[in-house]
Amino acid sequence: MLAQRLTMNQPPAQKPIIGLTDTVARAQQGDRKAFEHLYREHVGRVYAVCVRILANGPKAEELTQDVFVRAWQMLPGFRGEAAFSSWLHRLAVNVVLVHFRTEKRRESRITTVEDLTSFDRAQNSGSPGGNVDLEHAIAGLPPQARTIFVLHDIEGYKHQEIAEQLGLAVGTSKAQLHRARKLLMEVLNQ
Amino acid sequence: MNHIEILNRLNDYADHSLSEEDRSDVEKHLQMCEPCSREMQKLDALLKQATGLARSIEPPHELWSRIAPMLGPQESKIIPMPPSIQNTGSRTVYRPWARYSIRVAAALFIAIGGFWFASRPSPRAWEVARLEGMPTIGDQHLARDGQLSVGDWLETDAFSRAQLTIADIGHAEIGPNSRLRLVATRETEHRLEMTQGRLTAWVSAPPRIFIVETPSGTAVDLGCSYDLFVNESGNGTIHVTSGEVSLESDGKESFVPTGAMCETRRGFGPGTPYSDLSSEILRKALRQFDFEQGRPKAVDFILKNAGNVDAITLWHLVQRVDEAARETVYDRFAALVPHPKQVTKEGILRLDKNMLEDWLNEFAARSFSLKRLF
Repeated sequence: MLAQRLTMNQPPAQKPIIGLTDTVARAQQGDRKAFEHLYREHVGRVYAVCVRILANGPKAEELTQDVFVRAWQMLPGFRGEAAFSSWLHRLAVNVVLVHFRTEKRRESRITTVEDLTSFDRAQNSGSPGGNVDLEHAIAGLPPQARTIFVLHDIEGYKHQEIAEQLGLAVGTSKAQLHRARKLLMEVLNQ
Repeated sequence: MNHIEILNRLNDYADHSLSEEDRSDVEKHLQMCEPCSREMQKLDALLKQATGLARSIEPPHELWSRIAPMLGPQESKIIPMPPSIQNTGSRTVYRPWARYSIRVAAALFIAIGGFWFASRPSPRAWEVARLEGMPTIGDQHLARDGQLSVGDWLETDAFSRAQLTIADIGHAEIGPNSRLRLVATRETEHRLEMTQGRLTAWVSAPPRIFIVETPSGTAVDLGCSYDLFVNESGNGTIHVTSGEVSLESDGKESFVPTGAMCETRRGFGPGTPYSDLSSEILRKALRQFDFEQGRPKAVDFILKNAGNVDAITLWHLVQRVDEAARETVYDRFAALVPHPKQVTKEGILRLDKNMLEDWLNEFAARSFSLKRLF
C-alpha cells in the first residue's frame, strides 16, 4: 500500500542500496550542498504534483518548500529501498494530500482556476500550447476528481493506492476518475 | 453487453482493466457503433494529452533561498515506533445510579482505592491507531499508529477514523471529520478538547476523571460509555449507552443517564436530557424550550406529550421552568413517577437538592425493574 510505503516508521528493511547514490549519501550526512543538488534535480517534479493537485501556485510553492524541509529532516531514515526520486515523490504526494484534506475540511481555501501562474510558467518552459488548456481544465475540476485524475492519469498511481491514500473505496476512486475524464472531455471539446 | 453497458465501460477499456472477453466485446462494438467510437476517440485523446503533460514544472527561482534557511538539524530517527495500541480489558458498565449515589460511591472509591489509583504511573502520551483513511496528529499523517501528546491535535477527514487509548482508563473511537486536542493527562484528570466530530468512548474509571470539552459544553464522565457528536458550529449531542455523563457549562449542568441523550448549543450550554425513546415531537419542543423562544408554549406541549420514558426530562424540567410553571411540571412528574415518602411537594417546589436527588434515585431504581424507564 502506498500509505504503508510512505510510512517512515517501518522496521529496517534488508540492505537496500538502489536509492543511495553518492549525492544522497552525502546529504544524509548533513551535506547541504549535496541536498541543494538534489533539490535542483527534483524540485520541478515535486512542484508539478503540488500545483496540479492544489491548483494554486503560491500554496504549491509553500508545500514544495515543506516537502524539501521534511525530506531534509527525514533523509537519514531513507534506506534506499527505492530510487530517491520515488521516495521524494511519494513524500510530496503525501504532504500535499494531508494538507489538501485539512484545508478542505476547514473550508479556509477554495481553489480557483484563476490562480494559474504556474501553468503559464509551464507553457513558457516549453510545454505544448494545447496542454495549457488541459492544465486549466484540470484546475477547474472538483477537488477530489482533480486529485484522482492527477494521481491516476498523470502520475500513474493505481486505484488501490489512491483509495488507500485518500481513504476511499476503490470503486469511489474509479467513479471519481470517470467523472473527471467526462468533465474534461466536455470542456476540451466545447 | 448492450450499447449503454459498452459506453459505461469505455473507461475500463481504456485502463486495460477488462477481461479478455469483455475487451473483445467492446472492440467489436466500437467497430459498429459510431457514437461509442467517437467517445472512445475523445477519451483516447484526453489520456494521450494527459500522459504528455510536462512531468516537471519549475517553481520560482528564489524558492531555494526560502528553503535553505529552514534546514535545521536532521533527525536521527524519523518517527519513533510507538508501541502497538492495546485496548483496555473488559469495561466496567455502571448502572444508572442517581447523582447522590454516584457521589457517595465516588467518595468511597477514591477513599479506598485512591492511593492505588493515584500511585499508578499514567502514560504521558496516548496511543492512536488508524482505523480508516489517513488521520493526522499535528501535521503528521498517521499511516498506522502514533502517539498523542499534551497539546497535540488529532484530526480525521471525511474518510478517516482512529482509535484512541485514553491513558490506562479506556479507549475511544474517533469518527470522520473530527478535530480534538489532548489538554491534560494525569492520574486525577484526563482531558480532551473536541472542536468538532464524533467520539465514542468507553471508560472504566472513577467519576470525573475523563473530561471532554466542546465549544458548547463539557462532558464529564461518571463512569460509562457514550457517543458524543459535535458539529461544525460547535453544537453537540451526547448519547449515553451505559453509566452516566454530566454535561456542564457556566454553572448549568445536565445529568445524562443510560439510554438518555442531551443536546448542547453554543451560547446556551447543555439542554434538557431526553430518553432515546422519546418522541421526535417532544425533542423538538425541548429544543424550543432550551434554545429558542416560546418556552411557556413548549412546556405545555412537553407536559401534554410526556410519557414514562420522559421521566429524566421532567426531573430536569421541574428545576428549569419558571417558578410559576414549576407546580404544573411537578404534578405531571408525580403522576408518572410517585416520589418516595421523604420527598414532599413543597420541598420539590423550593428545589431542595436532597429531595430532588432522592426522587431521581427512586425512578432510577424503578427503571431496573422496568428495564428501561429512560
